[in-house]
Formats: sequence, structure tokens, C-alpha cells
Amino acid sequence: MEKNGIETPKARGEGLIVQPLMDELLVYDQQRHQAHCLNSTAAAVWRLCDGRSSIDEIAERASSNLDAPVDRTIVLAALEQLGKRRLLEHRITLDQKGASRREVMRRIGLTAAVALPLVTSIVAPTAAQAATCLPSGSACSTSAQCCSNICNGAPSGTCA
Amino acid sequence: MSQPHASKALGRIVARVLQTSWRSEPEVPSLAENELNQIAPALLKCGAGALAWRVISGSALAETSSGAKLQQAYRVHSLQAAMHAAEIDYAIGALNRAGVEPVLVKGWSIARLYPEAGLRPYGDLDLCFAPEEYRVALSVLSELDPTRFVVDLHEGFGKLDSLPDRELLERTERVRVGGAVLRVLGEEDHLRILCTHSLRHGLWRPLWLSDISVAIERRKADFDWTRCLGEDDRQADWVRCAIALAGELLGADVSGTPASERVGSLPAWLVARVLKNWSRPYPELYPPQVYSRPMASYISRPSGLFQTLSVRWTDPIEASVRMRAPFNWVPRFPYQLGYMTLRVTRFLRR
Repeated sequence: MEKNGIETPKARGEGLIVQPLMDELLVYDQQRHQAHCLNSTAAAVWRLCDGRSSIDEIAERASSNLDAPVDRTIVLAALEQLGKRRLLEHRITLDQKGASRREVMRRIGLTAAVALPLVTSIVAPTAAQAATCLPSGSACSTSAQCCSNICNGAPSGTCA
Repeated sequence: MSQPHASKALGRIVARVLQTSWRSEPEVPSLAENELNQIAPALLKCGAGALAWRVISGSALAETSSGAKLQQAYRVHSLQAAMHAAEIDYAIGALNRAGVEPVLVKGWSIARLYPEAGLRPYGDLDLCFAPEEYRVALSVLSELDPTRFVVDLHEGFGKLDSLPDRELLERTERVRVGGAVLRVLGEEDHLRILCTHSLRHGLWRPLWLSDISVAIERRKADFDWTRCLGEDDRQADWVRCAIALAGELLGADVSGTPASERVGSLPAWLVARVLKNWSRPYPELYPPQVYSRPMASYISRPSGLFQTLSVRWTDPIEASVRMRAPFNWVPRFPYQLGYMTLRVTRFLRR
């Protein structure tokens, strides 16, 4: 963290659509057209990245929000994943002092009382995904997508 | 098990999973993992994945690979609903500022009745306008950033209903969504349209019957059944049958509705056909795997015409509605033949 000169991480606010879902947080990046799913730990950390709180303060508040101990290492692991997916104003690289990321995560996992922070990518929703079918003239890759069920020139054709 | 029985059995499993799935506290079905595996592809393809996930999420099935796929659908549809909310705020907000209140029909207008918006996926926003507002709307929307919304604009209501546009417009109700104000069809008109639309398409999407269920169970206390059923007796009976199907197959509470007497006395062909349609992710009329060529190409190259005609044989539910036939115990073949003849005639006239 100090390596990057960022002691008070800030969550990105612009160009994101955020949807809480049960104990997860779904985030759609409108600029990159990518969707991510943050588990409860990653979501708690991300919400606390206000650009003013330090890593230790985030860890303390996350512990209180999740009702379980969250230490600095867990926050750093979450920040690394959030940064990698461009969900922070500045990307953060975890200072592992020679240990592999997997090793760090394993170490956290052995002692953590909360779920390991996890940010996974999900298939970004598109209008077509929920539509009954594509109308005539729409771009298609298979006939199954078209209302007419005829995709002229598949796999890069248009619906008849 | 023979093919028709097997597909009917699959349809029954779909019905079992979706029973009461639209309620705040759905009933958890007793279901084996292999049964879920059999129907998961159909549920996902027809947009019922999120609803199914909600039903099984508290059970051991949530940990299975099919469960994981349904959960992913739930996430995707929930995010999609949030994106639609942003679209509504942006596009409809702009229309409001120009003094226009569009009528939202289909997808969004029914999805809002579910306990969570993401349970009922839909594609774009269908906006209908009074003729005098249509041009204004077109001009307003063309000035906006096109990457921030996807809408389908309609002057009037097209072929949604048999009632005149003016009458449907007069009965619309105002709804506030975030900072935007829009209109939705009157509850009575909406339910009638949900029923006739789904029947017109052979009720192949289980989600349509769940839409009818949620509309029935969330109807207002002074719901006007006379207005809903309308003056066309034939159409009124179709509406009763669709509601009764929701009661019979999905466990919707249809007591106190004119359809209650139809529950248990629906024609066997109707129930069997719906269950058959639900066993596949695609409607009978559009089996994508077998439509190898456009119909027009058979004029110059007729080989295979009879085979393709047999594949395009009409759905009995759709044929009955299109031919304005009653839903009774009479075999459907005459109506299917009649509708097929009509379609061929229309095609040849083109």
C-alpha cells in the first residue's frame, strides 16, 4: 500500500451501477462494460474506501460492520482485488514481501473469521439476454437468438 | 417413457419449481438434483432462472452446479434491473421535463410487481405514447446519449389489445419511479393483456404464467372483473382459462376470481400442451435447430418443403386463439389446420 503512496484508498464512484443483493454487492462498470460480484467482506471494505480512512481504520470499521475480526491483511487482499477490477480510484498492489498472493490468501484463510474477500466477474447483462428474441435486422450469431429463428450469415449475421 | 410423456413430465417439474415462486415467501419444492439438472437449461433460457434460484436458495440444491448457474442468472438479472432503473431515470426524466408521461408496457410494468425487480428479466423498455406526444418523445430522446438507454417507442399500443388506444390511455395509472413519473396500464387491462398475449404465443414461457399469478395476487381490492374480461365472451373465457392455468399449474390463489370455476375443469389438451411447451427452452413454432432456410427460398428450391411445413406445424393454443376458437374439449386439429392454411395463404400473398 505504502509502496503506491496510497494510504487512504478511495472507491470509484463515477460510471458504476451498484446493486446490493442479499449479502453480496453487484457492480456494473459502465465504462468497461464489465460486471463484478463482491462478497460480503469485499463489499464491506469497498464501501469503507472513502478516500479519508486509513487501512487500519477500514479494518476496524469492517470488523464492526461484519461483526467479526477483519485485520489489515484482509483489507489489503480486498483492495488488491478491487483495484485489479478498476473499482478504486487508484490501483493498489499488495506488498507481499516475497510471498506469493496465493500463499498470503492461504495464510489469511487459516485464521480469518470472515469470508475471504472475493471479487468475481460475472457475465455483463445485455438487453438481448432477457428479450424473448431479437427482431428482424438485429445482429445475431445463431438462429436461436432471432424471433424469426433465421440468422442470415451466422455467426456474424442479421436476423431475417 | 414415450417422448410426449417425458416432455410433459419435465414440464411438471418446471411447474413444481416455480409454484408460488413470485411470493415473498415461496414454497420450497421437494426436488432431486437430477430433476433440477434436467430442467435448469430450460429455466435459464426462458428467463425463469432467477425465480428458480430464489426457490431453491435455502436448500441443498443451491450448492449444486445447476444451482450455481441459477444463482448467476439471479445476479445478472438483478444487475440488469438496476441498469433499467438508471435508464428510466435518465430517459423518462428527460421526457417528463418535456411534459410527456409515457406508458410503460410489458416487461417493466410486470417486473415491478415481483418482490425483487431482478426476479423477472426483460429486454428493453417498451414506451407507448398518445399520438400527439409521440413526435415530441422522438425528438426528446434523439437528443439524449444513446448509450445510456434502450427503448422501444410505440405510437399507441399497436396490437397489444383489442380495445381502442384512447380507451386504454384513459385508464392508465400514474406511477413514480425514483425521480421519474410514468404511466402503466390500468390493472384490469394489464391482466387481460398478459393473458391474451401469453396464449397468443402458446404460453411457452413459464414466466408468463407467473406474471399472471403475481398480477392476480397483487390486484387491488376494487379490481373490476367486468372491465378486465371485457365484452367479448370468447376472449373473456380465454382470460379465465389463463388465470385458471396459473392456479392449477403454479398454485396461484385464484379464489374470488371468475376463473375459480375453471380450475380443475380445463381441457386436458390445454394443460398437456403447456407442460409440453415448458419442457423446452424455445417455443414450438420456433425450433431454431431445425429451421435451416427461410420459407421464401422454397419457392425457387422446393425440395424439403413438406418437411419444413411439418416442423412449422402450429401450436394448438396459439392456433385456437388466432382462429378465435373456444377452449373446450373439441380436438384442436381443425383449428391447427385452419391456422396453418391461413399462414400459408398470407405467405403466398406476400
